[in-house]
Amino acid sequence: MLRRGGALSRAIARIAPAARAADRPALVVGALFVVSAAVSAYFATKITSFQPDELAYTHLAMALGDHPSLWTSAFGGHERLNQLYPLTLAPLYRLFGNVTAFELAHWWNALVMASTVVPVYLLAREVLERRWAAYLAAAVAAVVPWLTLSSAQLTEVVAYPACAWALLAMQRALARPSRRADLLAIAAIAVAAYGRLQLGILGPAFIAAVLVHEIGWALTAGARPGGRARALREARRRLVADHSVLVAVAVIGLVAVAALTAAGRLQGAFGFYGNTLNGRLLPAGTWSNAQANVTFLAWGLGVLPMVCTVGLVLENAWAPRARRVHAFAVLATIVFLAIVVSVARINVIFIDGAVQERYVVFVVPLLLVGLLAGLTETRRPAVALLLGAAVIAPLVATTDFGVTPSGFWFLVSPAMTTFVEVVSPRLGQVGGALGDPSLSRFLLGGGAIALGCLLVAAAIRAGSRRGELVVGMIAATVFAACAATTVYSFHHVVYGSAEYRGLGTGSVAGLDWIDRAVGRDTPVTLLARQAGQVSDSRELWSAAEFWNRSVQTAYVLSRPYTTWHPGLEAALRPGRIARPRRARYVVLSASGLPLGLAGRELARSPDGALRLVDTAHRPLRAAWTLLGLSDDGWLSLQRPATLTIAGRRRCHDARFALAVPRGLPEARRVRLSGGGIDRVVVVRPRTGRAVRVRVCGAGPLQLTLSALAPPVAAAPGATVRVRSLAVTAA
Amino acid sequence: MSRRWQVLAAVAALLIAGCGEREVRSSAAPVVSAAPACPAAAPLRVDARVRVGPGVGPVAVAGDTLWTARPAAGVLIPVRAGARPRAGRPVRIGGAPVSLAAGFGGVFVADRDRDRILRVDAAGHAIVRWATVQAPIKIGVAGEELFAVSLDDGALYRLQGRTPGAGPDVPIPARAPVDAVYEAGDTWVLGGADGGLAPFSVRQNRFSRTGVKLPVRVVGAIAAGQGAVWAALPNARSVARIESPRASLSVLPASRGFRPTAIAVDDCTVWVGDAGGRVQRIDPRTAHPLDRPVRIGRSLAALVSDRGGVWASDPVDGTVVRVAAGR
Repeated sequence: MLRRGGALSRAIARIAPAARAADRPALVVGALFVVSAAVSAYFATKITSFQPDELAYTHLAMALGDHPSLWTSAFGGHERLNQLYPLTLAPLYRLFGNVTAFELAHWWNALVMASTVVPVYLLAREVLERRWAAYLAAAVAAVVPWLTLSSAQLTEVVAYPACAWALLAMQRALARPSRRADLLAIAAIAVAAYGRLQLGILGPAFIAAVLVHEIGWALTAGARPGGRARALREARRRLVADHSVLVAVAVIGLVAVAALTAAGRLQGAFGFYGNTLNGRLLPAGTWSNAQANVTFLAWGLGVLPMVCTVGLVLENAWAPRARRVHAFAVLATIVFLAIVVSVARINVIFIDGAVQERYVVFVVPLLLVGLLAGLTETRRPAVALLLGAAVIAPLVATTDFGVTPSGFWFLVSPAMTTFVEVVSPRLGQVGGALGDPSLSRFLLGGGAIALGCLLVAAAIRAGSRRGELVVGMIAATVFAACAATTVYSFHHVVYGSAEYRGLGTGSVAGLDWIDRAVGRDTPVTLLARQAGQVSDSRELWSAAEFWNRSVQTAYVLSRPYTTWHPGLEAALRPGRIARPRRARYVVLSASGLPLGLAGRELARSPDGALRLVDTAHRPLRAAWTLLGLSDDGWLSLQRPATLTIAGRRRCHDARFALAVPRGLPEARRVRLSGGGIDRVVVVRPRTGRAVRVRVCGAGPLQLTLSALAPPVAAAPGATVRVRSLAVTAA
Repeated sequence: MSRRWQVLAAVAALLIAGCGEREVRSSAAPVVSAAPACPAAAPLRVDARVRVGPGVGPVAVAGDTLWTARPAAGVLIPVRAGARPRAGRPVRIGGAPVSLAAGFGGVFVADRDRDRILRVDAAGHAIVRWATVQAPIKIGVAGEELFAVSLDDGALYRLQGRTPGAGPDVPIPARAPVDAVYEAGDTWVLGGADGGLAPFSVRQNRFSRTGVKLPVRVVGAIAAGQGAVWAALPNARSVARIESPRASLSVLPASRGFRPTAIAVDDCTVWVGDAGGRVQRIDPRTAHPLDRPVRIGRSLAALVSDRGGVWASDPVDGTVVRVAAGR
């Protein structure tokens, strides 16, 4: 390359000494780690909201912090066996309050996710002959879009690097088998599974990879020097001698599974995920879900890593070049299929076939090394690339999947969401230019992949004498594509867009308002109604539980319950609380629905939606109750709602905020009667209505609210909603 | 290009071309039926008028029976639609039946006040509690199954037509859902507070596409047909058409003095009604009236198409009225 002269060569010649001086793996990989951590930390530390699963993992971290151990059954820990990540967070949650620990955890996440460059580099060194190629693989690993996962306290954060280490150990055990290598691989797989239970599948995958590699190598390349029979004998010897540890562990594993199955406890042993062991092996939709996962993984990595890996695998299927490469091709194939298909199956069973790339991100190290191996370790890289394209392009073209982008989807599936938001509209323009703007974006994407791969293959052919330069340019393109997707995704995770809210647009200041008011260790009880639609209500109550560890119990006034803690049934009667009987510190809705709790208000949430009341150890007493509304405050069409005011005062002022959906064509009317009142108020869709009435009488006062059916109504079931109520003694 | 390259390129092209396409979407142009079965243009007239009682609201057609309900009275009324339509024996269910859906050999009822979905057989005898849904405001048929919308939960529920029970709640990305219709694989839910229409993909079991924000919030009713979702916009005196596959929105002005509050669509035409009790046919492409409006009574709450005509409910007069073209 340098012999050809020219400006480029002279430039390379000038920087070559510096490059040689810098060619120290610790320096290069360390620099990549710093870059990756910086990118992740820049965005992840801006996050101010959380995902539902984080409630569980942070509570596990608190439990592990309070009672140091490797495993806890508290907070549903017996259902979540993968506790490595909470274990790493435990010191933070032990030493700091929830808000500070949350902020520190995102710094930690950035470091842990970025650390994946180390095992990726080492894995690449195991497979690739040239060190610079391993650097390139590590460089792409430093900017993969799934760094967005560092924005959440989820198990994938630690499972991703743990899996990369396990893949490295498996590759070593395959290519250079020994008892020690097997032991290391098994230990690494165990750690990865402790990080995330689904990675337990690496165990059977490892066994399968050992068998396929040894036999496959013997039947193909290994057979040439001394004949197929001799090669097979050699393979058998290696299997029995070098992999004896693996054989023993496999036998023990089989016996354990058989015993658990016989005892009917296999399902329970897998906790939360146990029910995935039931049902059909491949339920309907598994294939299309796997296909969608592959498609989006491909797009997220700039397509070429997937194409090159497939090409490498196909070439090694019949004409392997080197044992280490054959081992890698076998490992990549089996692990990829095992993870993608098992995830697709669980997606179909558990989450209605949604595609969350965070469940398949573990194959990314294989694809990055596969990219470089496909370009540098194949006999004819251009042909391998076209073979890969012949598989991937049709797969992409026949995919059918849709999602509405949001901050959450950018976090868990950055490749899919970027495809939907960025790539798909561009492909639509191409379709428009071709005369049919409604052409499937995936079909167009498949066509673009085929065309692009033809061009890249042509470039590889044309630049065969400058192979390193071409490989470098391809890797640089992939790097740029990944970096762009990563920054775009992170930006949308944090800041959102005009259509959806970002996860970093709020503030964490004051969210631990309950802990601050009563102290972290003081037990607080929720008395939770459905505040808003179910999804809004879940958000509201789980925020109180997430940011305040003092919240330990939840009583609920509606179904489905919208708290994270299991909802204990509260019981309201007109003017009183039948259950719970006692609780000193109680958090309830500030809307005054469906009750006003007697006691002293200590604090309100920053958004004003919740209030903390000190009942001073007395039995809980309702100052008022408003019963007969739906959980969210809607009046029935026929049955009135009844406000019952306790106490000895003769008169009380009741202030209602009433509303009807703004989109209704007609106003609604409500009759208020009782306690000396008989009044009809009109509630208009645009403005709503604030109503103040003075209720007087002897004994417990009662006021009824009845919806009056309009003579003509669009959406007749949409009545008046009581948004809030405040009652004060007159 | 060498011969080998040409062969490789041809193989790749063949593979891609032969792989088929699952997500072929319809053309951008509105899909407007030109079904040969459509009757020749003729002026509209009131075909039948049946007294069922004041406050009549929702309507649904099951075979040769029109089902209607009086939400405030808690009764369903079957109307045998024949040469001389007449009301059958009312079926008392209690509660507040605010929405009806016909299918699977019966009629399904959303009982708003008692948090339940009921199934009533075609004869009106057997009443079965089909599912529990908090404040259900809409029940509808979605292909091979049913859906229910909960005003209280702000959630969509999937139900089977043959076996009782509801699936888990699917949060609706719209505020105060008040109406929903099914069209071409999607259940479109209307947010009563924000004028948003969100498409729920039945196949993918989620709100998988971005919805449509209507230009005005006040919506009288929505309907589905002819490959589109239609919304009656009384304050804007117009009709909105959303092409279902691409979610593209067109707003078509209604005729002068007409404020559409109800809408129904069949294979041939789009029917609109106003709160004053008038019914009109409009051109699906332009919303231009195809003929003069016909008055059905003093008010109009809901429309449902039926065999080339339309049934309208008049809550003030307490009647259901069939309008059809003819002389």
